[in-house]
Amino acid sequence: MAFTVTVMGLLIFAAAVAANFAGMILTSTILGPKRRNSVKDQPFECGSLPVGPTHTRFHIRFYLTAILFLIFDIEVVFLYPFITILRPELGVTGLWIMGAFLAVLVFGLAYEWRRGGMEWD
Amino acid sequence: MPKPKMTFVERLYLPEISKGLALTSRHFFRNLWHHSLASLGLESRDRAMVTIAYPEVRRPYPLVARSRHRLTKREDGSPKCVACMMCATACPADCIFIEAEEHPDPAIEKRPRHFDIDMSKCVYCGFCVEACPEDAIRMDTGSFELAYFDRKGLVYDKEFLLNDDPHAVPAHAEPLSRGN
Amino acid sequence: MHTALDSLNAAMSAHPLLVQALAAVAKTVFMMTVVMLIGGLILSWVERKQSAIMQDRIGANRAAILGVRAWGLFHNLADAAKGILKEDFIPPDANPFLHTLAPFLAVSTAVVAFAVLPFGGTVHLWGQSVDLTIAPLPIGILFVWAMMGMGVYGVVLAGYVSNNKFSLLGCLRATAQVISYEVATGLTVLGALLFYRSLDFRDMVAWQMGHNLGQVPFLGHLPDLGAVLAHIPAWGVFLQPLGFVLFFTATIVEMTRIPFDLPEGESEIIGYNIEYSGMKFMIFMMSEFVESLLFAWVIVLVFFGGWSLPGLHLGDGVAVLFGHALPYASGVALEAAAMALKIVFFLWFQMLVRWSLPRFRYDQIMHLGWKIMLPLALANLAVTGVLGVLAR
Repeated sequence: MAFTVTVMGLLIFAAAVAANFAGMILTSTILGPKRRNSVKDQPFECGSLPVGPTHTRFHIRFYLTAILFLIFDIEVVFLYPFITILRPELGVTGLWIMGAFLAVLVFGLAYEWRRGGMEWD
Repeated sequence: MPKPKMTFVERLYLPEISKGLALTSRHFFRNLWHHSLASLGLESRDRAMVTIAYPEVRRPYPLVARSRHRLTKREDGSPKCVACMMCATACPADCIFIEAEEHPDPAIEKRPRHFDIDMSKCVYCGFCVEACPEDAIRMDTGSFELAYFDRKGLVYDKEFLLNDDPHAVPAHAEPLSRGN
Repeated sequence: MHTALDSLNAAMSAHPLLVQALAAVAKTVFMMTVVMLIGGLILSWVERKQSAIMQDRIGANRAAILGVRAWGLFHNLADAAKGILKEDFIPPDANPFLHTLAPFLAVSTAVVAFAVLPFGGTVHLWGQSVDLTIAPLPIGILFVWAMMGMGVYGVVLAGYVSNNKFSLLGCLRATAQVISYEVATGLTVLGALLFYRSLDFRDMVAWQMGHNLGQVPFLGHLPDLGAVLAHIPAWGVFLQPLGFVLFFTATIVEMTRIPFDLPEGESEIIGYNIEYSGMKFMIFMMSEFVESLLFAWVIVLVFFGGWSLPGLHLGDGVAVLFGHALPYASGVALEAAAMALKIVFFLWFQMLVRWSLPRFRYDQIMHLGWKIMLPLALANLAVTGVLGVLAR
C-alpha cells in the first residue's frame, strides 16, 4: 500500500510537471512569430562568419575530469549505503573496512594530484 | 607591480567573504529600512537610493558639458557663420557639410547655403567650437536625446541648428517617442 | 447536506486508495503552485529588487497595469508574456526534437526532485495517514542527486545540438563544473547523514527534532557546557559546520549561479543556451531559480532542522511552546511558518552571495572543487566517522 501510494504520487507529480513545461514550450511555439532569414539562421558568433565544423576537438582535460568524476562518484555511491544501513551494525570493523576503501581512493587522488591531472592553468 | 602578499587569514577566503557579505547586507537592510519609511511617506526616497528616475527627473548638467550643436545668430536672425570651413576641417568625424554662397553684405565675404551636421557621426569632441573664429557654432543646448526611427532624422540642417528650442524635433524626422 | 457529507465520508472510508489519490493530486497542485510561483515569478522579482536595494538603486519598477506599479511585480508577468509571444527559434542545423527536449529536461528534472521534499509531517484523513510529501521515498536525498544528475543532460543536449561552437564550449564547461561538484555535494552531506542514519528527509528532521547538542558524543560530556548545550537543538549545522559551508558552496556551483556562473556568464562569456530564444530560454533561466529553491529546501531539511522550532514540541494533539500549552493548529502553523522562514532566509542568502561576489576563474573553480573541497569533505567525513565510533 505504502509503495503504491509513493509511486502513484511520484507519477502524478511527474505527469503534472511534464504537462506544465511541455505546455509552456508548445504555447510559445504556436503563438510566437516565425520570421526566418539567412542571417538569423547562421550560428551566433558575435557577428563574424562561422569557420569550420562546429563539433571540433576539445581539450583532453574534460575527458580526464569525466573519468575522475566516475571514480569518485562511484565511491560516494558506495559510501551512502555504508553510512545509512551498515554502519550501526559494523562498528569498529566497519571503520577499518571503510578506512581501507577510502585509503585506496585517497591514494588515487594523491597520485592524480602529483601527476598534474587536476591542473587547469 | 608585485602581487600583494596575502596573509593566512585572507587566504582562508571565508573570513574575507563574510566581510563582503556583511557590507552588502548592511546596505540591503539600511536601504530596506529607508524604502519602508519612504513608502509610509515619512521621508524622501532619496535616502534609500541614488537612482535618478530619468525621464521624469533630470540631472543638472554642468555648464561646460558638450551637447548637440546650435548655430548662433546675428541681430537680424541670420547665422553668424561665414562658411570658412574651419569647423568642417577640424572635425575628426567628418560630420559637418557646408556649402558656401555669396553674402549680400559686401562687408561679409560668405554665408552658408547649407550647413548640415550628421549627428550619427558626431563624437561630441567640441573641436568645431574651438575652431570657429566667429563664435558661430556652440554645443550648449543641453540636449542629448537624439533618437529617431531612421538615420535621416539625425542629419540636422541649418534651419534646425538655428532653432533656439533645445528639445525641438527636425521637421523631416519621426521622433522616437511617437507612442506617447 | 448532512446526508451528502455522510455518503462522502462513507465513500472515502471504503476506498483508501481514492483518499490517497485525491491527496496526491492536492499535494501535486500545492507543490506545482509553490515551485512555479517562487521559482518562476517571485525569485526573478527578488533578484531584480534585492540587487537594486543592495546597490542603492531602485530596481525595475516601470511595468504597470492601469497605472499600478506594485513595486515592479508586474515585470514578471511582462516577462512571461514576452517569453510566450517571442519567436521560438530553432537553428536550421539543429535537431528540432533534441533542441526542444533540452530545456524541458533541464527544468522538469529539477522540479521532479521536489517530489521527495517533505513540507510537513503526517496528517490523518478518513482513517488514512497521508504524508505531506508527494513521494515519501526512503532514498530521499539520493533521488534529489539523481534528478540533479539528469539535469546535466539538459545542458549537454542544449550545447551539443545547437550547432554553435560557443554553446558547445559552454556546455563542456558546464558539464565539467557540475559533475566535479556533484562529488563534493554528495560527500559533504554524508557527515550529517552519519548522525541521521537515513536518506529519508522526514527521518532527518525527526532526528534533529528529537535530539539536542547535549546528547551528541563528546560535546555533551564537556564539563560546563554540557548542560547549556542540552538546550540547543541538534541541527545539522551545529554538528557539521564545515560540512554545511562546503555543502552550501557546492550547491551554488551546482545551480551555476554567480560566483560560479561560468557555464553561462550572463554578459561576458557565451553559454550553452546562446541559440535559445523565447520561452525555451526563459525555461533555462527558470531552472536556475527552481534549483535555488530546491537547494534552499534541502539545506533547511538537512542542516537546519526542517520545520523544527526550538522550544516547540508537537505531541499527540497538543502543542507546547516553552512549557505553555498551545492549540494544536497554531503549533502546526508555527512549524509551517518556521519552515517557510528558513527557506526564505536561504533564498535571500543565495541572492546576497550572488550579488556580492565576483566570478571565479575556471581553473580556480576546478582547483577549489578537486583540491580543496574534495579532500576537506573526505577529512570531515573521516573525522566524523572515527569520533562516532570512538564514542560508542
